[in-house]
Amino acid sequence: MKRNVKHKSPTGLALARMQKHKLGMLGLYLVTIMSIAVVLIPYIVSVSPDETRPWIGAQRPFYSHPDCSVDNAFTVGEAAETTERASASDELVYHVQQQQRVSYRVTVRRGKIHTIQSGAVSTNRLDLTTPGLEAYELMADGSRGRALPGVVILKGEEPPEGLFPQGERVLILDLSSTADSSRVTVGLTDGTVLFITEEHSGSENPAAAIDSITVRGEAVTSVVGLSSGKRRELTVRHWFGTDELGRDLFVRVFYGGRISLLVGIVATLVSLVIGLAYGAVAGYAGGRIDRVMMGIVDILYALPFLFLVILLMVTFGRNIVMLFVALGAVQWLTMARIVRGQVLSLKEMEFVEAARIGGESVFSIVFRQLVPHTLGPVIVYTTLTVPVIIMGESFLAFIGLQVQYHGASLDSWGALINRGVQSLGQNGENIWLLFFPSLAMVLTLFGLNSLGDGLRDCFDPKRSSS
Amino acid sequence: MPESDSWKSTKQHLIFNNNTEPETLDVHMMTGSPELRLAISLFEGLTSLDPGNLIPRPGVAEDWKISDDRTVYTFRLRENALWSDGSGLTASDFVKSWERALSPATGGAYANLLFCIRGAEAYFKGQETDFTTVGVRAVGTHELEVSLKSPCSYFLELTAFPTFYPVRVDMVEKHGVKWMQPEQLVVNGAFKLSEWAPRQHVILVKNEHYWDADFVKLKKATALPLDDLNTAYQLFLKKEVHWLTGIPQARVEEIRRHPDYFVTPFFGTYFYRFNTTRKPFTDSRVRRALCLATDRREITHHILKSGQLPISTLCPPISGYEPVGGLTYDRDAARKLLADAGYGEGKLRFPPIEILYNTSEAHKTIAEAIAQQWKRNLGITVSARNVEWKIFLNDTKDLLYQVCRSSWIGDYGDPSTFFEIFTGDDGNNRTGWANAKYDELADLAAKEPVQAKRLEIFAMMERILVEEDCPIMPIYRYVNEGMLAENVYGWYENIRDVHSLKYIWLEGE
Amino acid sequence: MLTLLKRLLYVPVVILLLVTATFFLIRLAPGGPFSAERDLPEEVEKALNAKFRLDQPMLVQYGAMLKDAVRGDFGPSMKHRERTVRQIIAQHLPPSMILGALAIILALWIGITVGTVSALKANSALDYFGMGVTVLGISLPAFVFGPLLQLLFAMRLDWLPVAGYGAPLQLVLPALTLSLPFAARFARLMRAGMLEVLSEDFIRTARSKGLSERIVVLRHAFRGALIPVVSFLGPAIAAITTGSLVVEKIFNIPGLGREFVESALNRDYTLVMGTTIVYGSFIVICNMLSDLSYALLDPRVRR
Repeated sequence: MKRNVKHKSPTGLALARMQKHKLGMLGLYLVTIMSIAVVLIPYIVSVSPDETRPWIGAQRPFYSHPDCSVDNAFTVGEAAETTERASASDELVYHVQQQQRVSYRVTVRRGKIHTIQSGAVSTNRLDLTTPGLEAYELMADGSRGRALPGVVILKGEEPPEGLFPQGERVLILDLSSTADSSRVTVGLTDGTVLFITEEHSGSENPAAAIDSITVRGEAVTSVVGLSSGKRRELTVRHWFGTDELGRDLFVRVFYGGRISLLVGIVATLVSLVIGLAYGAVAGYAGGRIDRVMMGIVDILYALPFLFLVILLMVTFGRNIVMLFVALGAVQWLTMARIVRGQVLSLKEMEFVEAARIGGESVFSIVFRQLVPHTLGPVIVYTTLTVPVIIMGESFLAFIGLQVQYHGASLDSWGALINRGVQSLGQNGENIWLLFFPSLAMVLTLFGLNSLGDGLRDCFDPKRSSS
Repeated sequence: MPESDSWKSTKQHLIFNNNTEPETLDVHMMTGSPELRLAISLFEGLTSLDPGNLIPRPGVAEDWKISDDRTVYTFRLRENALWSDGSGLTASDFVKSWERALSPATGGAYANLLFCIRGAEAYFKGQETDFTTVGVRAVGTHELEVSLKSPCSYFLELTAFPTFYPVRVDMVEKHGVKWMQPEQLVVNGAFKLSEWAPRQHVILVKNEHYWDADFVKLKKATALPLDDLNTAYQLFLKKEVHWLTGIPQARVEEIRRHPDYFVTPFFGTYFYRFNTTRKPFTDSRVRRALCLATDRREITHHILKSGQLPISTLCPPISGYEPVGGLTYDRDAARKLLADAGYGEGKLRFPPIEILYNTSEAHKTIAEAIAQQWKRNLGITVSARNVEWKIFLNDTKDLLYQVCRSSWIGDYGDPSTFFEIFTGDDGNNRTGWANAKYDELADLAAKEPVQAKRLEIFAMMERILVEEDCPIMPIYRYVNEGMLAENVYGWYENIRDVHSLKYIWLEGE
Repeated sequence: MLTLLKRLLYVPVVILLLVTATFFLIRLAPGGPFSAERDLPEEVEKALNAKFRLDQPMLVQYGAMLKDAVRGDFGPSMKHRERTVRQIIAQHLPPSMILGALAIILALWIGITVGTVSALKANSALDYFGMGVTVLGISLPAFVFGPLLQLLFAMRLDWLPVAGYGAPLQLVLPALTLSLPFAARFARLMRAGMLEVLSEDFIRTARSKGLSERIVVLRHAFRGALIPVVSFLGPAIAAITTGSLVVEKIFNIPGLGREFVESALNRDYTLVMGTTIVYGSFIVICNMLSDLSYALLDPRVRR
């Protein structure tokens, strides 16, 4: 290693050249930024990637909603059960709108009312004239549309006037009885509940103190928190929107990157270890051993590796380690060839000769002297292998052999993209579920490829193409 | 969106998506609904189900007599019932077919449906090698006598099931495995096979030799094997397909705004199994606590969104049976039970548990949601893991799981089709659970001739299964959903999702 | 040339290796061909096992399989029992091959055009745009393109059929979907190759002789620039044929790729062996042909 200090090594020279390689540097920045983001995400954002809020469903980017859990349970004298941020407040006010909502689907077929259904359950008659009942058209995004006329809908009859807009044959409507809204105020110290009061709107009774209450997140329209004298509305904003379980897509994309990059890097390391050892041995041994070993590589090159990966996944599908091995085992062949070529040309050089005369063992010569000198091409190839593996993993996700990240329901980028493709609607509904994971994957793979190309150009200036 | 005004196909040619490539058209081997969907149009049993209310109606048998002790059925076959090659269909065809169905070498998974016939089980198991010991006999060319082991209230429904259909045994012997290729397949149903291009389509055409051919309006039907339901839905939007038997689940919110979307209840239940041989699930309190900690409404309402019914009982209402009991969402009760079982603060730490499911987006989403509910409501560590189908089958059968996703679809309209699988020695039990009282009740129900009393027994079994012991956790009742073009007539909603093409026609063409 | 001939001798070795690995891997996999959601009666399972020789020792089965393989007959599929493996391959191989061939042609055509144009207009807006698009092709999984192309060309514009197999128009979208990732790769290789060649001496000489740019590019530079593209052709053909299963599923093409994946997932032992051998041989041959053409194009490799 001392040698490197005295004069600039080929690696050092290459790195100096690299700094002038624009695309390569762009790739380096991209990869660095993505890696840092992916590694640090749990420490930056406190939102959990698997916390579900199913009642929200898939929502567009920048959607925000009141900061509360599915069940917000409070009992005087006990720790408050709600989100972390909310329970840090001194006082919490929940505005609750009890939603006794039932949605119906009414369809017309051949000019007559064909079905009146709530869920899969059919009825023959729906009466919208009942006092105290409000009927609205339910819009695609879950909001209320126009108010519907007070009519009676009968199966098999012609649709009542004004119920269906011109030419429409389906109506999703939302029935709710006069809403019962209330205000729940919770006093807290260090997360422990001091008092709870509940106040119903429209009632003459003043706020009543109660011992315990569970506020359903679904019914909460807003949460106001008072902390250190400041009163403000507590909301959660989802920059990338949410998926169908109401999980934050921003967090899921970066957690997904952890899996994709982990698989990419570990599998590449597997291929690196096998390829380095195999190539170095073949190159150093030379002669007949070299010919046989490289003959085997030639044979293996001809195997349809995708098939073997599928077979390996099927056979050892219960074990995530196998995926790394399977994907890595596919990629070591090129690495072995590169290393062998390098070793073959290096082993006649003086410093190897010197080591040999100095009495160093073969093992030591190969792995201490020769292998470090093959570093350049190896780095290049490693950088270019990671994206190949990430793509391979996404392909496996598509055919249902995806990686399981133990303990958490996290999806790799490939799996997220697959989900996004599945939920993409005819008019581009839910496009963000496809867009953001794709963007992350494109940036990272573009970064890795550019970095790899850049490094190659720098290590091998003759081949420079830009 | 460019949409043509009418469906492109003309002249009574129905095109529908059958969701996958049929494995076989051999009625004695088939098990899946894509195969059954074709079989009911190609073949006809002694009885056939009414397309609307599923009550058995005369099929090949014009009429039947039932003995006073309800164990001997005498069917009178139609004189004009013919095979599609024009030859007559006789009682001995049924005898030969059932003999084939009862031979293990045929490889039928449903052979045990025939076990209600006297001597059938012994013959199947090889304890008896003479088929004449089995209670089925051709009295004349058009009279078939069937003797049952014991009264079976749903026997006439079974005779409408593919395992009981007649096949041309002589053709099977002559052509070997190729007997169901279009060139040689001889059928007795309203349609016959005209073309079978694997993974492209199966084409059926009207069978002019069918005894009720005058009633059949449809001339041709094409079944597509698209398993990419997104693609299938797009074909429907382009009006190239009349009927979809499934929709891309992830797009249900968008699709239910389409006027041609339909959704009806289905005779199947989605549930979780607990491996009762593994700690902590050996304790019924733990199993009950998990059942209580599951909010099914959240799953049906916010995740599935197709109108599935959240349930805590196993068997859907059928033949007068009304589901009873079950543990619904109650967070506090769940916590209390878990504490009683010895877990919680200051006591034993609840071990991390894992939900096993087979690879599918829907199973995944549900498993993730339930894992979250258990985490949230009980403060325990839950993860969800997918494995591909065959590994899943292997692991559930060998009890190599903790909690697993399951479902069951009834074969015939009687609660026993649901309850029998959880008897101690049933191959479909897969929970390691055996309850002497439950098994005893199952035996009683099988022997009980009075329907009202049987229903009472089933209710007792259900209580043990979903309330007291809970080796399973019911989650929701399935729905049939799909798309149906406005010009399709004669298609009736029913709980079993059986739609014989015999009754369907296209209007305005 | 001699090395190539020698590699021809490897072919049987490679296939034997592949067959052996496949045979044991698929049998090691949990679950058998006859396991199903509904438990099969014991007697039936026994009868089926006997029929497919699954009750015999593994090595006996292996020997019998090798014998079958040599005769090219694997018997019936274990899942679709009325069809033989040979029939299935005969039915499903042609669609895969047609699709693969079309995709390769499309990929080469798009790739070479875009790559050449980008190289000739290096560092122009056109070049940046072309290369930007290829980034998408390289960095996104193929299953994204299928549904998007369907949505655009079949639903929005209504120019092409959504899916299916039979009519020539039905092949356009699947072939395009399949070719895109490879077109992108070819374009990048072509651009790099072209830039390299254009900077070489003999091109400068040609230019200085006053030959038109068109002739310089087409006559002189093209051949050299094609070398990296051709060297990638073998792996690309292999990847396209095995990668076609994604496209086959989305567009409902009755191809062999899906048969392979499904046979592996279904533990259809006989069909797995059949499809593996067909694909294996095909890929081995492709790799050899690619080496051969590489040698023909690049005199330096000719030995």
